[in-house]
Amino acid sequence: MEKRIGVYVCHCGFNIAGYLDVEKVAEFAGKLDSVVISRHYSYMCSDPGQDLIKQDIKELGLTHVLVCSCSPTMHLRTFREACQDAGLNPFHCDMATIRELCSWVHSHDPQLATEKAMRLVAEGVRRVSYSNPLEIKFAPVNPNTLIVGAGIAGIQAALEIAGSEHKVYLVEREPSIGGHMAQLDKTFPYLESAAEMLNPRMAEVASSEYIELMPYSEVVEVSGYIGNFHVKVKKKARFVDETKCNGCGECWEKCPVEVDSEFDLGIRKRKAIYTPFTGAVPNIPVIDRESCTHFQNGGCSTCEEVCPTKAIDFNQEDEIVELEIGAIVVSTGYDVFDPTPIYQYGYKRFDNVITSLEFERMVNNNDGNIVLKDGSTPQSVAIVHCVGSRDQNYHEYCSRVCCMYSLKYSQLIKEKTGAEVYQMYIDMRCFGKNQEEFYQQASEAGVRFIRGKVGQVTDITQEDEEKGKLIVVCEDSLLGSMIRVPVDLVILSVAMEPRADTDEVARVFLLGRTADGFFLERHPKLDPVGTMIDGVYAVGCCQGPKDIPDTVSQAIGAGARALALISKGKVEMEAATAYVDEEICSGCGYCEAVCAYSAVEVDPRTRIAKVNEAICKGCGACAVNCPSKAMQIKNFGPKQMLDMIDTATREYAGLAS
Amino acid sequence: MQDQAGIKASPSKPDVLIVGAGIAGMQAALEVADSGHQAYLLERLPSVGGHMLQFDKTFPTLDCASCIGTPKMSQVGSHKKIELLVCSEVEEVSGHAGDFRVRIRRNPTYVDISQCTGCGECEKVCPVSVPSEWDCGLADRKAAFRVFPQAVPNVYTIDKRGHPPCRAACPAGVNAQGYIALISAGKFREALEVLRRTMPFAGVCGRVCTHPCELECERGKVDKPIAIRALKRFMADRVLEEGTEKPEPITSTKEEKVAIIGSGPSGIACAYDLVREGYPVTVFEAAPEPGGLLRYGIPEYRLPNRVVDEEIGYVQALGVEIKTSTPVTSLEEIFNQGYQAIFLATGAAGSQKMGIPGEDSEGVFQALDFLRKVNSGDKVKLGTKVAVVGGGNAAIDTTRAAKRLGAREVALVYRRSRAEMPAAPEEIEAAEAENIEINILSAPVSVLTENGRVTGIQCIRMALGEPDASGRRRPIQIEGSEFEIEVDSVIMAIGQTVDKTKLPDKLEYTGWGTLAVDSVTLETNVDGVFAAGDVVSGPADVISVVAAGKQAAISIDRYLRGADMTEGRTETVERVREVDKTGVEKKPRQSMPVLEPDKRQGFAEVELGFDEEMAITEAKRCLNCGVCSECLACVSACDRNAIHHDMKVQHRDLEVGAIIVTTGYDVLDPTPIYQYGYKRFDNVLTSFELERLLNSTGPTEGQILLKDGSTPKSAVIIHCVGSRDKNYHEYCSRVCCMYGLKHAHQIREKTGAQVYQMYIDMRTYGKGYEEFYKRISDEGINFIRGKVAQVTDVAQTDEEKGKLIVVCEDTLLESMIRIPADMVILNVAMEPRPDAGEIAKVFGLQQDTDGFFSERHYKLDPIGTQTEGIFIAGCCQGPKDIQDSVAQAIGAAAKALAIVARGEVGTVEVEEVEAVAVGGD
Repeated sequence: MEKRIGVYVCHCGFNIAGYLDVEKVAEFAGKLDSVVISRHYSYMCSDPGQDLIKQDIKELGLTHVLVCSCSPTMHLRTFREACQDAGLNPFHCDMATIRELCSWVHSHDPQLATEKAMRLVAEGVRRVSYSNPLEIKFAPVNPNTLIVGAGIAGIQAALEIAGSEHKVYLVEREPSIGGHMAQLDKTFPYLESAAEMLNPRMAEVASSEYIELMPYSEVVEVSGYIGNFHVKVKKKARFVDETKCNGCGECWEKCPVEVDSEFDLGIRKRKAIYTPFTGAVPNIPVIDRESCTHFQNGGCSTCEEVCPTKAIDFNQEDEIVELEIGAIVVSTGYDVFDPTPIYQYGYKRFDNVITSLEFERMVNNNDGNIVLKDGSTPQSVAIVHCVGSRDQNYHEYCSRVCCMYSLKYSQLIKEKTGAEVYQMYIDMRCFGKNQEEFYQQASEAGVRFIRGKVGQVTDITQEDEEKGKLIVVCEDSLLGSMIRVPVDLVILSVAMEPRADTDEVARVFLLGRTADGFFLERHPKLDPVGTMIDGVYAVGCCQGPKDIPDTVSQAIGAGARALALISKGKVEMEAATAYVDEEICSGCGYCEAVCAYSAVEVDPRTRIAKVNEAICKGCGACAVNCPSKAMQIKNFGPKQMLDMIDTATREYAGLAS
Repeated sequence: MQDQAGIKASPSKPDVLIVGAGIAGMQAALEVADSGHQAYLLERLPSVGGHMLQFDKTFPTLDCASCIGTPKMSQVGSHKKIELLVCSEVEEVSGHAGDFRVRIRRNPTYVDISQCTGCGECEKVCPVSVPSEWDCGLADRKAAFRVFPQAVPNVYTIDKRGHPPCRAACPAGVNAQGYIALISAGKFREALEVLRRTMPFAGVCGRVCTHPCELECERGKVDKPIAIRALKRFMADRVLEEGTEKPEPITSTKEEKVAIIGSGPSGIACAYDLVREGYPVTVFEAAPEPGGLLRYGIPEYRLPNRVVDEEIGYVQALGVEIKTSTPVTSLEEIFNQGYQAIFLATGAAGSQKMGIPGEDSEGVFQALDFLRKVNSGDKVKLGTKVAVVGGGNAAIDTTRAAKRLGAREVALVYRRSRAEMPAAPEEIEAAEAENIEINILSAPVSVLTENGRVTGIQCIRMALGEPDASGRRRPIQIEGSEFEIEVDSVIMAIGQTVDKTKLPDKLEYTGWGTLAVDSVTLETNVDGVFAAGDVVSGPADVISVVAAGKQAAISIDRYLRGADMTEGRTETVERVREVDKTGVEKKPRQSMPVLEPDKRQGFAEVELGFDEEMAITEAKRCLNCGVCSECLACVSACDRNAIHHDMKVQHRDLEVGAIIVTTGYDVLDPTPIYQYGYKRFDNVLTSFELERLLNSTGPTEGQILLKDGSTPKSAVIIHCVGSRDKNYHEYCSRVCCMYGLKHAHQIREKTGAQVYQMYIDMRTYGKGYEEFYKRISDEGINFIRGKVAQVTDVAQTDEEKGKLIVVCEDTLLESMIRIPADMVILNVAMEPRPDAGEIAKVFGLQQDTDGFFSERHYKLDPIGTQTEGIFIAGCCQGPKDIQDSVAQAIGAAAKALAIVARGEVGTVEVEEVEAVAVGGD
């Protein structure tokens, strides 16, 4: 059949037309083989732009369409849908990227940009002319959702989905759900108790018939694709039979071994058999085999002896549970920055230099008393902002919450001790609802604000009044002078940072990461909860520092995505998959070895490779590895590629001169 | 009660309504629709998109707002599960979660969306330009417009605010704004056609109309009203000059013949309307020429007969038959000739008598007789000293006519003060310019005669007492103040009466001696006979009797069709109340060129009329109060017949399971912050205005230009304008630091200017934001920490001359500094929509102290509201950036889907639960 190709050059406002000669490009395209119409227009993606294409397909009987504009990740779908609306197979539509590859990168050389655009357009015309009509297939969606990480984000997402009566597996690495929020005392800016907000939600998770809680577990393997993930979860051995334990607490009361509580950051002790905090969900203890004497030398079996329900089982082993899942929400949270390497701030060197999270635990325990290491009440406190944040040596980013929680601390300290409070800040970032007002309140309450980065915290005194104090040395940038502030307690407002094992988690879920190490969202503006992997969403602080309201918003958003997927019940499959020329295939298995999606298998009987089209993403790894060219990608054949290269690199008379 | 209550599952409606189609609303709609549920996306404006599409680039990635916004719009527009409801508002919400009933008002766009192709022909011909809201007033748009080129749906809308004051003030409802708009576009013939839709008298009313329109003209509140009458005359003269083509006669479509008695303005106006309705119309006129008082009552220097001929000729050409010199004395006679309805418009041509001695002497004239003779070219024996008694237009006309006939001294005698004179002020002034002596507060007591000839007139001085029935202060004679004026002629111009002797009998009269008619239908006591004009109202101005004639035409048509003659007749036209006059510069009203008084020989026209340039200049002063002027140029330009100017508000009821409110924010108007000089200095602009300048589809096509067209060499960006400020908004608007950085980058990139940022705290807290701050700092932007005290143009040094000086405390240097700059950009706060209170009421939402909608729980339910099933997202809940809005919108969709996807909602059953209205009082 005769090929009738339409070429459409987009101005993209000034983004393209401002840097290269769109008219010339269109004129050039019009002269290429098989091109029957070539146009340029201000915004091809707008409705009138799309209408141009539709009209030409109908009136000029176009068989192929090439749109020369932005990247295909941006708009290929838009234009293919337009073509489909006009009755053309969508795979006869393709794009040439003249914005990202020409106007943007060669903005200082319009002639070069124009010439390159012409070559890309010529190449694109060849590419699209080889295209075959493909059929879009759909795969069913498994209605179960997996949520990884049960902090406030994971809990919220789980409740959203369970609320519409769909099954959720909520996996949590720790023995209890709750996350960092469970460690917090009050929340800003309304000073509500974190526990009062969190506990009902934890209880709701525990009692929901749609949520299967998998505490003390980790996801070890994910395969499959959107709607049809296959997930392996390692349930770590608790050494306590969950079906028997009634959470009476006999075991941990009688356990003779005491170690530092991780939950309380060492401020309190816990036993070798323990729940991380009172009110843990599930309220079932675990045995820490590292510190348990039974596992060290077999000496002690106290817990087993005292347990009234005979729930202790020292022989329990880690177990792998396999799940079939439609959508995955990753909400693995953050770590707090360890300020020990910032030597000059004296953390770990001085008793009364503590981190903000330690302060939270201190206020939350001790009946809420704020005390120094020696048990006395501080007379003066310095809160040092941006410790590890906005600092090129540690994290360049702003952790978003420190200004506000520091203000909250000053309120609490003033209220409970009457101490003088100093805030050493760079910029006060109180940008949320009612936050500026909270800042005002603190100022009015007499909190001292000193704008400047702290140089050091020292115990070397220069004057009598400094004796026995910690001296915070700081440049007051508003006064333009160095000042020394003697205080009893220094609180370091430490940064939020990616989890130490983010790498591993990223690998398991195939997530991308930003330069800062947080998980990468699909689009910072328009898809802040999606990831590059369809069907996997990342929410909360694993995606970047944020406060509780923003985390909850995102979690609800991810819930929406999962629900939308489930209610639609099907997903579109990649159409441009790999296929095998069975005549040529020698069954060498190179393709099988390189397939990242496990989509290719060599039939052991016939020794011919087979492609599972449902899984294949059309990445092409198999095709380039195939020694006999038996494996190919639909619409990306070798002849086509060579022709494209040839076209892009050949001589054209008077190109862009 | 609680413990007795049971949970009852009731079915949920599957659809979701989203109110507000900015980025949050579009995102929520797509989420809902993608999961297979029907989404209704409602937007007040004609296009989806919201504020985001007004922006140029977005921070921190600097990708363009259009690139990410238009695909969303496109998706929303083409999604099979999304129904767009543009130009719509929610009026009422009732019901409960899972089962809301929503009443939607669709405001008329006057364009049939299903027919409009977005070709833009209507916009091309539309003569009305108003400031474009989309471009923050930096450019104009037409009344027929598309919000922006990528609008979805891609259709045009006509912005019609109602009847402009001029049109509402006109008794005949002449569409002055319509023809003025066309005159401003140089389309004079089309302009005349607009007037002719109402009446045929452009040239007549362009000269003698009392122009009540000008009194109401909103331009008068800025400087002087538009010279509407003069413009009307201009288009009539202009078209007459160019040569008029005789109109095609209208073929009668109706059989019932109508007779009109009297060819004055009222009769002709009625005939004009009826002939256009398809009736065969005959006008009977007793005088030898048609026109009534237009011809015989107004002197030629004011209204030349050729104008009357032309305009009545036009009506005749349409098919109206005028039988002159044909007095009618009997109604039966007319009915017997086969006419089925009669309109009496015989006027009030009788003269009132004063009843003073000497009134019947030779040398005493009645004004109407006098003027009739003058206008007919008959000889009048007038003396050299003339007194005219009266204060109306006829009196003034008489004085000036007398002067032109050769009288040396002409004196007007009027018993009240000048303020009470019924004559038009400009007429009185014109008379004075022609040396007419005006004696106010003087009443004649007798006409003095000698040998039967007039020798003088004796008058008495008057004082003004309490107001009388007419509302004017009653004149009282001052005893003993008699005086005499020596004259040889007296002309009485004290009033006109209906001359019953010339009217058929059987008719009933009022106590005033005028014909008695039904005030609405204008029917007389004789079936099929209607009357209006001076014969009913007593002497009135031209436009009022034209209006009366038009009303008679309506009655007659209904009478002949057997329709209800009263239905809908008493409704008054609602005029546009609020006309935004901010930023309107004063421009002088064009004054009418006149013949110099010493050159006023004979009856040559005194007023000369505007020339083309004057007319266009004057027409361009029009504020376009109604925006659309209903000139109907668009109707003829539209190939698809998509434009319908009679579209009405439509209502539609929806049943939905959940509602998402995403009504967005407004930007603060910094005018009240006087010290920053916004609106006082040309080059102080808001951050929003800068976005439009930066945008390639904006008024400068992406160039940053000063008001004079030059490129700025230095720019200052002032943060926290209206935010973090107890006098305006205490809250932080969250986005200004980041867009301030973005703008700094763009200004530097596009102009190379020095850029200063005056900030309090740099709040760059989001993902990639701090890095962006660093990057911009490295680009050589100057950061100054301090609140700006004022922006001034008072220079202290030479280098400050011609610049705007930003005075600011640099808190890091601890000193006051002065920065001279070419351009100042105010980073204005985001604030709640002005009608957030009303929206809150409709949806049963609560507002926080700042005026934004309250979420159910600050931390744990930032999307829910106090009303179950209604969710909020985006900036209507508080300032936020695009990503946070999108995240919230996705969340809101989740919440809505959770209700509708389940298919049922649990409602607490307490006895019989009635559907509870969530909105209303």
